[in-house]
Amino acid sequence: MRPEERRIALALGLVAAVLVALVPAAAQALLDDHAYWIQVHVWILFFAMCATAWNIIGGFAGQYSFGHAAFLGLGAYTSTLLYLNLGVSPWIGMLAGGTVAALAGAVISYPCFRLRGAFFALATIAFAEMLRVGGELTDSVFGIQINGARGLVIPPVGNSAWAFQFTDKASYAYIAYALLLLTLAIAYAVKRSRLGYYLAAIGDDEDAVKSLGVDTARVKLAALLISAFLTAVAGTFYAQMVLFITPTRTVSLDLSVQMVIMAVLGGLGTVFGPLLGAVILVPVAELTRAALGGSTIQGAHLIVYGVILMLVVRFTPGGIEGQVRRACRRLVAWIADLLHGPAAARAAVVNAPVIQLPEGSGLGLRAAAGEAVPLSVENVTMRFGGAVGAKDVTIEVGPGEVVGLIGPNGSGKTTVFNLITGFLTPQTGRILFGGRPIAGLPPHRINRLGIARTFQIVRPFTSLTAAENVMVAALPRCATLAAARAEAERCLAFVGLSHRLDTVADGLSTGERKRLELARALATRPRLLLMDEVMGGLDQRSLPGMIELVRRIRREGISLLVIEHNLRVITMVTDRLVMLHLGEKIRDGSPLAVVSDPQVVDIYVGGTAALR
Amino acid sequence: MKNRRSVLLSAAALAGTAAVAGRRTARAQQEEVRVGVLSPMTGPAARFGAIQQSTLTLAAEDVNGAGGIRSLGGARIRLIFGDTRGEADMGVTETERLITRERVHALIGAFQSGVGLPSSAVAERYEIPWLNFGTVDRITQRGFRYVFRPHANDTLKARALVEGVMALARQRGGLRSGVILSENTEWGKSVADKQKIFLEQAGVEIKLVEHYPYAAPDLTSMVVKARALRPDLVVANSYLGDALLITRLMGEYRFRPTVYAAGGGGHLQPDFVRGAGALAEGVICATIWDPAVGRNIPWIKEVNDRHVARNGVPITEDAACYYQCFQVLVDALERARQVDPKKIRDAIAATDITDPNHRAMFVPCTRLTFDETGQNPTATAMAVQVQQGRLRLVYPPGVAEPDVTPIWPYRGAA
Amino acid sequence: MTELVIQGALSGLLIGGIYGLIALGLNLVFGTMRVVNFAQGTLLMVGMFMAYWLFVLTGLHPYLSPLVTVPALFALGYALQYFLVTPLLARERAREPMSVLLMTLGLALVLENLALMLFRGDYKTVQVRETSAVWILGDYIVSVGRFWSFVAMLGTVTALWLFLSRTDLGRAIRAVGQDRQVARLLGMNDRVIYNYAFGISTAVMGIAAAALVPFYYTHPAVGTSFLLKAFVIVVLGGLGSMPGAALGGLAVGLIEGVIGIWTEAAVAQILLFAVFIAMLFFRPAGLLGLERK
Repeated sequence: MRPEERRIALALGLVAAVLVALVPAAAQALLDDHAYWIQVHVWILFFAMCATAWNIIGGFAGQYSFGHAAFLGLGAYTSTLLYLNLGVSPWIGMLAGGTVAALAGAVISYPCFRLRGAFFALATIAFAEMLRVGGELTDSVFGIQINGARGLVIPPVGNSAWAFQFTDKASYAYIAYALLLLTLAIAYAVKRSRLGYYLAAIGDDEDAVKSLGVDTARVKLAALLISAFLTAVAGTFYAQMVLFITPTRTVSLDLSVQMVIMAVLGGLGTVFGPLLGAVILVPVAELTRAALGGSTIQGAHLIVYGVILMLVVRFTPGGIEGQVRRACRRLVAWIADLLHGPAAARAAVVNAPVIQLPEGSGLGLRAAAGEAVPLSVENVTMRFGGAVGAKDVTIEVGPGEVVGLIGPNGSGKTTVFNLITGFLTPQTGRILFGGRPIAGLPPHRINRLGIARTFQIVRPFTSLTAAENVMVAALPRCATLAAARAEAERCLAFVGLSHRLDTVADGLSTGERKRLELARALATRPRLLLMDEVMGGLDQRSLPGMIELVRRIRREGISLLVIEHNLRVITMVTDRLVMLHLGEKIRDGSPLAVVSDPQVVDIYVGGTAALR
Repeated sequence: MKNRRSVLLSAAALAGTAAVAGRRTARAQQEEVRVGVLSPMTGPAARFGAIQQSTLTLAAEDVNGAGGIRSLGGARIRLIFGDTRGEADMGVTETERLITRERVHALIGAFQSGVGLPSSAVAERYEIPWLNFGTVDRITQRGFRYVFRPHANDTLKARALVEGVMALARQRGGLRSGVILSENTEWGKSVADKQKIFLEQAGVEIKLVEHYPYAAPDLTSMVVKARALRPDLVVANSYLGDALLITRLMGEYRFRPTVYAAGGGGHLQPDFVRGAGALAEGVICATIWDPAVGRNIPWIKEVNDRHVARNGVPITEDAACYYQCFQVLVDALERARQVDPKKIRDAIAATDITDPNHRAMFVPCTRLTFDETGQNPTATAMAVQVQQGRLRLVYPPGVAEPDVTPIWPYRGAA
Repeated sequence: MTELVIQGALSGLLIGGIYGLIALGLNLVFGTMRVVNFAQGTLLMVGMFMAYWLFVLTGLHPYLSPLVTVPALFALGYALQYFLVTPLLARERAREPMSVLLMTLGLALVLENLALMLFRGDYKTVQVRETSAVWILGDYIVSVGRFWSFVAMLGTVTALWLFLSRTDLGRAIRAVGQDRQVARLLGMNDRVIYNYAFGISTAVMGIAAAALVPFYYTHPAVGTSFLLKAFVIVVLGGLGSMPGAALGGLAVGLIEGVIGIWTEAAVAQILLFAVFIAMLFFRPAGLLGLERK
């Protein structure tokens, strides 16, 4: 975007923000029936607030919670109970409610965050339903009257800022507007912070994030706490506006579902998508109900609502935020052209040659990561039910040594990787790194000790750019985003992807993805790097470049453990080979000795029969 | 960057809707009285909303057909319906819409007390008269000036049920113990509390009060548990689906208390009487109104007959109360001679009707007035019993159908 | 008290048969194919209305309604998968795409309110011989309608189990459910197999509807109360395991029946969700899960 476009966008945005702020006042001045329209406006703002808060955990991190109404209800009940029993202003109660909801979030996060996708969604439904049914059942908690299903009525006191009650709707609109801006600002800050990078990466591939030294459980917890807090704030607002709360409504599955629908419709994981979703769906619901709800055709407006949801899911999977953003961008460009004349033709994109590693001094990994230390895997066994993944395996990787791990499919190579990197915990045996036992540590801790890995099937964060992919890995060790970006650029230059910095990973070729994954692993400053078939799937043209890259990594002075199928290639880059078969180590020696061993050849050529 | 554009978009959308709204209000006319009606038109209680709507439509047509509001030069009454979906926040929004966008002069609503509580507070704030249907006591106990209830509240209704059952029992051996099975929302909790108090005052030992989730797919355990207590009396406060479940389960488990009574709600519905079949026979139910009232009062029968002819179903208790609210409003409009909501409010407050043939006496009482809380103090309820698939009035003696002998005890399917 | 608990357990087991029947259908789409179908309860409602109207209009006993409803629902399910879910699966890589969940949520909203529009909010009931009939076994009472639904569940679970393990289509369904990309590489037409699976799952709702209609009520919102329970049961019994779904249904019925005797129905509800979460946490494969993590 050109600087003049930036200025125009900023100006347009400010005008829009002011216009929205003026809607209640304008409505009041111009319309006889202003209160209804202001009320609709308030509902838009309220739902936008809820959906934006939901999006921080649901969209940013891809953890679809279907129980966010629980946080809404906790916020509403906390502030209302404080007000009714102690006379505490709901403004203070709002913060208390947020805190209570965040605490509840911390409690449920423990079981829920171990679950993925639909199972996470179902677990959150279960928690919210427990809270709802429990709330309906309970008349008092520790002597505090909560009235069970009958709910709490907040007596109207007229205009009182202290009591958070106003006789005119416009006040509610301004408060909702302020709260929404706050929520959006927080969402924006999260998105642009290191937390935001981690969350986006988690949304794409949580295991890969773990392998980069990021404690994903803590990251998700942080997002959930923020999300729960903000949802509870919206809950207090709801209570003060309706002045009547029941578990049946405030903790309803219906409300939770609406938050999800709005965020999805608008655009998951974007800062402003949920707002867009609310801007579209709330008026649709209101207008169809006003138009059809009173007619004799029952349920017609909900049919309209359902059809819209289905159409959006079917035809604009990423939500409408993308379309709207492109339209706005065109509008801004058009205005800029109008004001400043047409932009100069864009510089042609330079297509870098397939393999071109930049000359340079390397990454200086050794200086950064410290002296390489030995890895010893000692008599490690891992069984999956009846199947054996690894059986009494012992592997040594000396400091600065490059060891190859070979064996046919299913021989346990990747299992060994998973054991070393903490994705699996061995049932027996020890794993020492620099003399320190590491078996059983979580993946992110092991990474922090200096062990990085790549995955057999490449797992880039597909929605992030190449530079952002590497930034996720660099961030735990960098003080600022800028430092992480610089580090990412260095690592990408090292693997020869300088020309792809801002390409979204989804658009990279297989070879480029493999390099990206190496860059990502290197950005964690490893002392030992585990490479799982980085040559696999490459065409003949790309192979020499990749071999050269592996050699350069080796020159950095770190130890390598390499899984490779191509025996010719692996003998070129390794000092020693270890052969696995059916989970057991059957050979360990110099590359030439191992690959010329007739039994090894038999296993590779003739299958398993030769071993018997 | 995205931010501001999104905001821009929302502003544009709002400006658009606002413009449409501006045009609409220009249509507002003086020669009509606009009455907002809040009902659940969708959701689980949609069935109730439908009959409320058809009954009020009939009432409004009658008034308009007879020349409208005479003191206002024959002003026509226009009903504007709002769908609450049975949810509090929807009710609030719709009330707001009816008041400010449709600029109604008075409101009738909202069936569920949980909707009526917050919605009537909106009416109070705008100083628009709110004629309430919804029996929870506290709706009229909040010191509001614009909220009126011409019919019985939960306390009056629970008292009528207990008095009715006990009066019938007195000649037939009495009742010693009872259980109360009640759905767990606002209404069920509130009414069960009152029933328990009145029953205990009448000397009935309450062995169990259970509040169950009304949408629960199965209630067998509760029924089995209640049966094991061998109560003389079962009181159920249910919506429709759960009323059917409980009754059928009682039948299956041969659970036949001397009296099977109900606080109202689902047990009064034609769907219940049809669906429970023989098991419904003998169920005694508290109600504020029943079409059988028309057996003694011809004009009520005529209204109900026309409703049956047009819609295929009789007027229900709640719809009758909507009808009464509407007629109280018509009476007040005639006396107010203007459509200023504040004046209408004063006229409603000054209501004093004793003529049993006055249309506002659709739900009979001795004298229709409002006390300072807005409650009609003489409002009462009655007890009906299912007999041969019909609801027959059995209590109080003045209203009871003369040719009806109460079924005693409850026999279930046997 | 013991007598009471036994009676509660007995009736719980019988209603558990119904739960199991509904869970069987969900298990096929969700457990096996990983299509997160939030419209399963609504499809049950569709089946119930079909059975109801067949009874009212033609006098067909609800127990014979599957003759009509099972083929009709199969076609409906096939079409729903073909038109609504398949295009989403084609574009998503995740095993349980969330877009499918949202699509079926929208579908549930549309179908439920369509039913409300067409049939109003009446609670429709039928009166047949089984409606309130019981057998008395000594001190205990067995509801005939519930007993037959229990039998229907046993029949269905056996049929589905045989179908999935003994027929080519059944095995193909399981293979595609495991990994649709790999199945496609192996030359299976995964789309058609999805269609069949969704169709069969919907058809099972026809059997559940036939079992329910004689003693239950039919209403547009009737399916919703069964939906969450069905998810609980599928996870409890084990994703993809038909006997697991059956056992899970019985377990849920049993818990409800017994806990309801000791305390209240609402407490049983809370407890079920707690068990559900604990199960997801400690034994995600379920009681009889086929898959290991």
